[in-house]
Formats: sequence, C-alpha cells, structure tokens
Amino acid sequence: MKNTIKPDIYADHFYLDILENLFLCVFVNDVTGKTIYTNPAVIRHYGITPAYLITTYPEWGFWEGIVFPPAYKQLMKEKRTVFYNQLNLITNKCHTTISTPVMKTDASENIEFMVQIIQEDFSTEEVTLIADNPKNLPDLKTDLIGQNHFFCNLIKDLEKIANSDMPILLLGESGTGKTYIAQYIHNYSHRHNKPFRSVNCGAIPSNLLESELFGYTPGSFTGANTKGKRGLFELVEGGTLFLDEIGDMPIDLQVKILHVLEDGKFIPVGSTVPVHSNVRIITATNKDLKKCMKNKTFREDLYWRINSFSSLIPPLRKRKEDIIPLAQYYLDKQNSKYHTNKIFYPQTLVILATYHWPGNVRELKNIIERIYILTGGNIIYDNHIPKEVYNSHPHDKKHYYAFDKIINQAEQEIIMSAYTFHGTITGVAQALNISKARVTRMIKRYSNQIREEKE
Amino acid sequence: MNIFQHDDDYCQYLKLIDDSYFKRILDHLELPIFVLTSDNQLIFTNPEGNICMEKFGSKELMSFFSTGIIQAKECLHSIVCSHDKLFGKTFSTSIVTPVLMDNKNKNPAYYIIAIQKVIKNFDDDARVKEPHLRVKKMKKRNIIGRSHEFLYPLIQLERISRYDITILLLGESGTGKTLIAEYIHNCSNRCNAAFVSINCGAIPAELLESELFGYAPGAFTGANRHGKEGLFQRADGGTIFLDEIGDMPLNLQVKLLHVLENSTFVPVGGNEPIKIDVRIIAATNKDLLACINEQTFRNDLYWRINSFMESIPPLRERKPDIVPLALFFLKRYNLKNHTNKVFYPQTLQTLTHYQWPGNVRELKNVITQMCVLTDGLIIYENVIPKEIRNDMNDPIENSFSFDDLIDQIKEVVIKVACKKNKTSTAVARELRISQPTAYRLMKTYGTLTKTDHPIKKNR
Repeated sequence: MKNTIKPDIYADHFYLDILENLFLCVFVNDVTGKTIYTNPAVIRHYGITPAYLITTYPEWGFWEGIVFPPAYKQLMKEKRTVFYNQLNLITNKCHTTISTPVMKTDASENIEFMVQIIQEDFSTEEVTLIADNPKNLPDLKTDLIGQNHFFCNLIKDLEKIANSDMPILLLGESGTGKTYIAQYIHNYSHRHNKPFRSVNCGAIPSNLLESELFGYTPGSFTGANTKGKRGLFELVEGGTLFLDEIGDMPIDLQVKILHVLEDGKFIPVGSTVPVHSNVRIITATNKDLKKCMKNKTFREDLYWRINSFSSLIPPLRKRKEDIIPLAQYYLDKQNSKYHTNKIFYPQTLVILATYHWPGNVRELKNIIERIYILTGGNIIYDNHIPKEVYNSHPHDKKHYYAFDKIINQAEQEIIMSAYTFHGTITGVAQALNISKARVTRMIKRYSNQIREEKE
Repeated sequence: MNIFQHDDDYCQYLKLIDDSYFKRILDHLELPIFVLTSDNQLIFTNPEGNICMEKFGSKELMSFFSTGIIQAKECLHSIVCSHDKLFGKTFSTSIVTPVLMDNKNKNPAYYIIAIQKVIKNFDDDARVKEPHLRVKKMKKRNIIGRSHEFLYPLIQLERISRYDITILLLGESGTGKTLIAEYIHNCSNRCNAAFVSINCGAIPAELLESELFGYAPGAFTGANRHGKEGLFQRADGGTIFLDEIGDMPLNLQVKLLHVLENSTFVPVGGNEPIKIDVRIIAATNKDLLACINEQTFRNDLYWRINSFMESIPPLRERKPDIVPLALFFLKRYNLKNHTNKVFYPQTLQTLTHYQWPGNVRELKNVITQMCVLTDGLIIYENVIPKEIRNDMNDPIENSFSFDDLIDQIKEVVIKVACKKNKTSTAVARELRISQPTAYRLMKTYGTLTKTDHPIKKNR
C-alpha cells in the first residue's frame, strides 16, 4: 500500500488534476514571491484567479496589505516548515497557513520554491455530514398540495427565505396560488403571529388604492370617514403585506412603496407627517416587469428592491402530478361541508389530468365545485365535466367496474387525447415520457378498439 | 481537463509544466492527502498521508473514508466530515472531493481526501499581534473596487473632494452612488460635520419640500407644533447628498437653485431666510439634458450642479470588482449570522460572467439569497439563480410521465374500492381481479387494513 503507483488509466496530468480539485487552497511561490502555481481555491481567499497571478507575476510586496503577518521571511531564514495563523485582510478571516520549503535537488541547501496550504476553519458551525440528496422530497408543512418535484423544491427554498425578511417577488400565471404561497411564507416566518393582509393592486382604482394602503387623515377628502382611516401598512404593523399584481400599480404610488422600502416610512393621504412602519412586503405579478420598465410604467429602482428574491410558480399544466391530489382535496372539502360522500369515477380524473388548465388551480377548484353540485348521485362521472374541459375527440362512454377495464380506459383516454393534441408519435412520446415504440403500440391497439366499439 | 474553466493561455502554461513537478508539490504539502477510487482502492497518497496511515492503520482509515465517499458520490459535491473518535485531537476535519472527468459522466473517477490539522503552536499569529500593526496595513478606502474603470473616477473624486464645489454623480441604479457620496464627504474637510442623504425619487413630491427645508411652527394642519428642521439645516457645515435629482419637482428646483446661489432658503410657511453652509452632491441615472429638452429639469440648475461631473461605471464594465464585492458581502453575512460559509471557486467564476443589470445592489441580493439557501458550509453553483447561470432551458421541466398518471389512477380506484369493502377478497370481487392481485395492489397503495394482514389470516 505504501508505494502506490499511479495507474495508467488516469490522465498524464493526474497530479495536476488532484491539485486543481483540492478543496483547500495550495500556493507555490519562488523565493522572490512570484507565483508559480496556485489552484482555483485561491479565488475564495483573495478574489483573484490563478491566471491573473501567473500573468501579473507579483512579488512579495503585492501581498502586503492582503496577508498579515507574512511567513516567507522566517521560512527562508530557518529553512523549515512554518505554521502561521494569518489574517486575510480581504475576507477579514484568520486562516492557518502551513508553508514548506522545497530544496533544490543539487544538495546546495538552497530553496527552490515554497509550498503553502491554507486550512479552512469550519469550527464555529456545527460540522456534520452534509448531503443534498435530491431524491428526498421535502415534506410540506401545511395545506399546500404538491408532489411535483420543482414545486416542492421551490417551496423548500421559500421556507428558507421566509425568515430572512427579504422582499420576495412571486411570478406566475393567474390562478397558480400566489396568495396562498404568500400566506404560507408569512406563516413560516417569525412574523407568523402578526397580521397578514393581501391586496390586489390591479383590482382597486388608483386613488382608492392609495388610501387603502396608507390610510387618510380626518377630513382629507369629501366622503371620507370623519375619523380618518388607518391604512394597510399601519394595520399589518410587524406583519406581512402581500401586494398582488404589483405591475398594475400606478407609477405615483410606486414612489410611496419605494419610500416604505427605503426608509420604512409612509405618509397617509392628506397628511404630511410620515408614519414609521415595520412590514415585510411580498409582491406578485404575472406581467413581464422588465418590459414594464422599458415602457416606463414600472420604476427601475423599485424593481431592484422588491426583487431581492424572485420565484416562478409553475402553472398547473407543468405539474400534472398535482392535478389529481388537488381535485381530491377540493372534492373532500365539499364532501365534509355538505356531509356527502361523493367520489370520482376514475375516467373523470383522467380527463381532468389531461386538460391544460389555463386558469390553473383556481379554474380546477371552480370546476370541481361545479361538478360537485351538478352530480346527483354518489359517483361523479365524466359526463358531468363542463364542455370546455371535455375534449372533442370520441370518448369511450361506458362505465366499467372491472379493474383492468378501468385502467385500460384510462390509458386509452390519455394516449388518444395526447395524440389528438400533439399529432405525432414523437410528440406524444416526449410529452408522456415513454418510448416511441410503446406509443405506437398503444395507439394501434386503442384506435382499433374505438373502431370496433363504433361498429 | 477539469471542471474549472481557465483561459487558454493559462491552460497552455499548466500543460508546459511536467506533471512530476505537481507531484513534488503534493509530496511537500504538510497535510495528508489521499486519492481513492469509488471502491476504496488507494491510488495516491503523499508522505504526510503515509505517516497518517502508519499511525492510525490503513484499514481503519479506509473504512472511515468510505462513509464520506458514499455521501460525496450521491451529491457530487465536496463533503466536510468531522472526526474526533479516530484521530484524537491532532486532526480536525477532513474534506472529501469527488472528481468528475467530464460534465456528462456523473460517476466520479476518483475522490480526493484532505485532512486538516489542529495547530496550537503557531510560529506567528495575527491574533496576538499588536492591534496597531494590523491597522497600519489596512487600506484607507472603505470602498471595494480595484478595477481601473472604477478607481480612475474614484481618484478624481478624491482629488476634488477637498474643494467645495458641487459634484454631480451619474450612474445606473445600484452602482453605489450614495456610498461614493459619503466617501467624498469623508475625504473632504467637512468630514467631521454631518452627511445627510435623501432620495428625491423615493419621497412623494408634497413631502419633499418640508423634508428638505423644514417648516415653521403652524405651517399646516397636522404639522408638528414646534415646526421642523429641514435636512439642509441638519447638514449645515457638512454635505447633503441629493439622489435622483432628476425626479425633483420643478418648484423645488427653483428653491434649490436659490440655495446654491445665495446659501439661504426659507422654510415652508416661514418668513425669515436661513443661512447655511452646505456642500451639495447630486446624483441621477437620468439623462438630464433630455430632461431639459422635455422641460422637466431647469437649465440653470443643471449648469449649477454639474461643476464637476463624474460617471460611476456599471458593474459589468468593472468585472474585476465582482469577486471582491462578493467576498465582502459574504463576509458581512457570515459576521451577521455567525456562520462560516465559503464559496466554491466555480461559483465565483460563474458570477463574473453575468451582466448585472441591477449592479452592486443586485449582487448583494444574490449573495444574501445564496447564503440563505445554502444549508451547509460550501456555497455551490446550484444555488445561483437560474438567469445568472444562463440556463436557457425551460426552468420547469416536465418530468411527469404516463406511468405516473396511470399509477395515480390505480391508486384512486383501489382506495375507493377499499372504502366500500372491508377485505381484500371483497375488493377483488368488486374489481374482478384475483385476491392475490388485490392484496398486492392494496399493499402498493398503502390501503391495507389490519384484517387483511396475511399473518393474521394464517392464524
């Protein structure tokens, strides 16, 4: 074991690869202080690339004011390994540095070059084995429903951000549940026992929005409450305010929001005295804010302040695995509300799952509530589904009870509706994540079946 | 060659050095280094590593490493392991780094293990040095940046700072104009007096006047009874920084012009002019000449405030400053949150390739965000926001498949059948499948009731 020999299968720059990939920073200088080699980890310490050091060739003087105290003097004098605890003035951290002289091979007792390794200090934080295993799906804490991998990771990230008080910008189509997610962030943060309020900036006329957000003083306009009114920013003091459709906010109000974000102050309508506010702001929009900035309908400085963390909520059609659990969830809610026990006929769920849901979760919720009311019996059949969701291609209208028949019917529905939508076998295979051969086989089987049934 | 992208010249330089030279470097490193394959075969170790093996036994070492290797194989990242048991007090942590030969092959070719030592007797220690010795080495500037594009205007401003002329700073949002204004103030003779900064664009127009100039007692309803001191008064003898001066309403521009010309102003609702001595630094990211054409900015004011004009370059034009700034913001985060996070080199490299339209402010946000999202100690590339990583793929990939959908349907069918029927035999009868199939399906979808348990049945 002691004299391990480099196996031939590894590249001829095997030792270089080791140095390049070493997590710790290695530094090689000649006696004048010029860098001969250093690995990429040097960026972490000094903010310079190895290529920069090699090409500029700085001498010892370069390191003055960067590293203190310097180790090379003692090393060259005593010609032995020296252990230093050096202060890095760029990162303002102390690092243990071990420098070793390498002698010339000609027995002249002269130093050829010196090798230095910088240790990392992991001690103040609890050091454990850290693994980011993507297979472990995060557990969702509350009533947010999602199995979709992307969605779960996104929620996981938001949970981490929740406690940091950073402004969050939620992007996503209408109906993807941005308000629920904002509420979720609030519940997860340290502000959770303070109020959470949400306001849709696009749904309220602009002058009303101003008094809604910031309140007004007594007698500030005709028809106003004589006692004045407290605005949302005052009402949610210490909590979270969710501004939906921020892209629709008039530009003069954007100034006021900017003021709150910058100075933590706002002025009620009709007042001139600023009021202090400690509110976390979460914003959302489905507009392209970058485009709005170009058209001058959105302030650039506001954009960079609300956008500390932005998160794109996927539309329902991009997280198909969540459709059936969501449908079940909304049905269960209706069931417990009216003390019924209605269930979905499997084919119904198949049709729901293959629909593209332009209105996202909100549309799904509305449709479930609608079919729930329209269904007289205990089983919700596919013919209760509204026409716009029900595809136009021929369905197998029979209702089966045998397991295999039900599953076959589901397979047929999925394949045929995907085929009608995409038109090509390749398209279907890509959309459904299965091989082309399997698609071809199934299309053949099920289109024959349809024909037979018609005859 | 490896995952880190060097430029061509540097690669050329590295290739010209014989690999035996790098072996000499490794051999002289004072920390034990081991290189292992995924099946725990040792393929390299340096002399320090040999000493370590003799001391602790190679079998014990290898079995210790294997746990770290399994972790590293799974997440393809460096793993930091602490170990008190095996090594006693001489070694603190070991770092396992998987090495991938190319980006496509997700199986690491080998693993590098470096063990860190606990060192008590330093030859020299920065912490025990006299404090003044440390301070001497510190730079005077507290502004981060060493690129020529940034230093040139900064040095110009340093030079101009002792003269009391008005300065106009130009630059995109987030380039740090406020910081530079404060720096000018600190360099000037006024550094012991107040520095007051106000963003004219972030304060509603009706409030701006009383903020700047204050008001006399009883000037308007709701005002403080004792009146209010304006920012100009507070900055007397010092410097006032007017950010986004291009957003200042025209009527206030007249008042400001008056201040510039006569050094006096009248508070809102007041009669007596107040004399002040204030140095004005203004900033904007608007094209003021265009504003003059549109009649939103006064021509005479423009010529007064731009006695000296300097533009601050956007971050994308001073790329060498990105990494030092990133390190600075990381340091700040670590200090504030008592953490010890470090960047993976490639992470920093990626940050330098981005255009940074939001400039330093955006960089600061991104660094904070990455720190918050990192659970461990090492900040990897995967926490960099997608638009910076230049990921042109659709961010939401559709990984859901036909089989998953069918699986969900099967689950629903089985669950509904189980609600109605108590035993697997009854479920099988309803769904017209055999009892073993029904049992298997119920087991898969977790709807087995206690009565179905086969052991119980056998009894």
